[in-house]
Amino acid sequence: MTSGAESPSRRIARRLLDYVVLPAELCEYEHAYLARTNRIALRFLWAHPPVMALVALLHGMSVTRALLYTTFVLLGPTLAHRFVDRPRVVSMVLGVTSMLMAALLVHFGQGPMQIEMHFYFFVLLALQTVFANPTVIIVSALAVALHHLVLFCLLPASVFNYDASLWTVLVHALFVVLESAAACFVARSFFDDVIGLDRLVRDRTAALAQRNRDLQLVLDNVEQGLVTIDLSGRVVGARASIVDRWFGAPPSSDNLCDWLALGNREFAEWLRLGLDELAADVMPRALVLAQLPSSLVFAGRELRFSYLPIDGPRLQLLVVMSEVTAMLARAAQDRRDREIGLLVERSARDPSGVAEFLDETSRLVRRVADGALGATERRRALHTLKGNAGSIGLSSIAVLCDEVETRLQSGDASLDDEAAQVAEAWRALHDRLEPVLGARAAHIHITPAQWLSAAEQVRQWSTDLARTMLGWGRDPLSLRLHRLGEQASALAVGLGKPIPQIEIDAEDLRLPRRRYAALWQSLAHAVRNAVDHGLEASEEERAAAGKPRVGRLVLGARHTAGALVVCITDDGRGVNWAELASAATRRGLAARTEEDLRRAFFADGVSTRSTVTEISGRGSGMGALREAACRLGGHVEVESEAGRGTTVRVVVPMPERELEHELASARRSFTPEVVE
Amino acid sequence: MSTTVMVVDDSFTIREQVSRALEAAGYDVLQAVDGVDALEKYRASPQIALVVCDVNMPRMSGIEFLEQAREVGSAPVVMLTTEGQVELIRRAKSLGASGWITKPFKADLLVAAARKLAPQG
Repeated sequence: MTSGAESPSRRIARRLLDYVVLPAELCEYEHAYLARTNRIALRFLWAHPPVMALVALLHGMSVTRALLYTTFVLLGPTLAHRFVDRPRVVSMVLGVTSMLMAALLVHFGQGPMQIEMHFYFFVLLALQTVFANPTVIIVSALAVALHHLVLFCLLPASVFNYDASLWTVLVHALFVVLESAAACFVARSFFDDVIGLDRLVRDRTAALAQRNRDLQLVLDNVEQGLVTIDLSGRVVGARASIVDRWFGAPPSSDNLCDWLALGNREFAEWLRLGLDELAADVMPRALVLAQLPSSLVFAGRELRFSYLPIDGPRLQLLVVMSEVTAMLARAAQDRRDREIGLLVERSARDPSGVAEFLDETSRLVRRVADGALGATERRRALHTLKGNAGSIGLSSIAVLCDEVETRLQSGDASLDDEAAQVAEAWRALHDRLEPVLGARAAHIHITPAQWLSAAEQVRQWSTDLARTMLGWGRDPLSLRLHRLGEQASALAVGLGKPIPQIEIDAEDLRLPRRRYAALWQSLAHAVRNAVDHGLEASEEERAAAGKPRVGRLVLGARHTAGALVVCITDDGRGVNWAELASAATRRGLAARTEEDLRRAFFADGVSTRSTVTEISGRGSGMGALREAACRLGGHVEVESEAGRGTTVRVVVPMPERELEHELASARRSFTPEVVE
Repeated sequence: MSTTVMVVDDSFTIREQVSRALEAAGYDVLQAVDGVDALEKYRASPQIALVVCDVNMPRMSGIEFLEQAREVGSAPVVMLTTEGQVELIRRAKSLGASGWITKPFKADLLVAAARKLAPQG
């Protein structure tokens, strides 16, 4: 991170230091190598004392001293070798010791040969390269330099056999520097290229192992089956674990074709055939690859195969398998849903036609499955079933019938089994269709125009009967209340509240559709209020208040004294009148009397809620209800007791009107509204 | 002179599809409607360099044609098959068919096969 700001000289110094000082890590190979080299070097040095004694003897020096000095000098490396655990340090001690040996040789070789004895420094310095460590050479060279300088000053006779000048020492030093530089280069190269090779190999092996581990991790977790095979089908190298989960343990041959044959012989045969074809290389590779089998059903699982050629010394294939079982099931479900949608749509246009189809199909399915009938008759029923289903758009049934016919023709299917399949498929479909279409089919369908004209005619005979008939075109009260009840349940679910018990208490009464549409819409606000604010948040809260655990919401409507009265009653917390009073006061409304408060309850913008949700809390819902009631000439009331619940009541007049008027309004309600 | 390919299939549609693809690629195409017809035309036109032959045909099947075609000439024969006929393909291969093309086929792959088996001069 600092290299960018480094000065050139510092950078050179750092690189030089990096060159001379080896990386701290000592690999196993270097450790073993140095242990051996150090041992040999120590033995080599231990060979010196007798030689030194001989040299001393020949040069008239003290043999005892020669033996004593050399042995003393040898103590260092011997102890180091014995006790120091770091082989590079031992090498350094050996290096310095060898220089001392050379110095002793020069010392005990005093006389005419003394200058020649200096060669030994250079010989030993060169030998240091075996330690593959430039530091050893540098340290040894420094030891020589120190030795020469010290003895040149204190005991020149130990170094030179003549009166050498300082220049002589410097010339010797220059030679040492040159040789050291060369030796450093050789040692470092030795370290990097030979000793380090081991580390290089180890690093690469480790990297490769890591990559294999990463790859295996991917293969263990990938959702797709990945297998590489050669052209004989043999599985090569690692494969995704999911393959074993899909197909079970591989066969001893490790051949994908054999493996797949365990669950699907035909697919395996195709694959084998295709691989042979690839190996033969007669047909174009692209063609053969395109014709390799791609859809496998194995143990109830549906898989899609694709193949990628891997070119190499021998062609291999990467086989990629994806499970599509769920996807196919979803697609089948979608197709069924679409079919039902189509049939429902058709039923809206032609209810009796669809009802007839349902009956006829059920009858045919029974015939197909009827073991008492002859095979020909059953097959004929199957064929008719196929045609009918196809013509009405039930392709799932049509396709199934066709498959069954094919299987029956090929002779390897039992009619009973196949018929059971058809019956099962039809039953599943019928169970979904019946609740939707069956109820429709049970109704009588006439157009509004037919109905109105019938009522007009009846009117001449009986006004009451005409009124009753007109009522048929109106919404039953109970239907409206049921819708509100459903809204309440959905709301409770949306708010995460327990669903209250909903009671509908409606008179058998029908109301003109348009006249009350706005009222029903704003009544939804009252229902929301009841669920969101009125009813408790949890069963526990109710239990703590001594109430039944499940809340109650009563939706009632009746016709009394020429008025329609709709009540929404909950047995929840009740209105907190005190809070409402302060909310009203904040809005500048009167809040002194009970009457004031009731008015405030239905006022716009008064909410006791501190948070506004998307459902309620803005304080405008009850205002809308009051307005809708007023427009119909009615009014709203509220009764609430803290802890006991709330009842919101809407009263709107429902005058008995002239039949003429009723007819006109019925006609209006069945003509499209004109928006100006 | 362009290279001649004989297309043998009892289905007019398939015959036309194969012929059109090969003609577009510069081949001369000779059509035959079944094995018998194919053998006659093969004898009459020894310059045929490749035969593309359906397996299931009336009168004489592709397999029977293969058995007898060897006595007429040595042009490579490629079988046209539908899926699910492993045994038939094995049989055809053992009788010397060069390979097979599954119906429905892709025109470019068919042409690639023709180019490999009967290179144009």
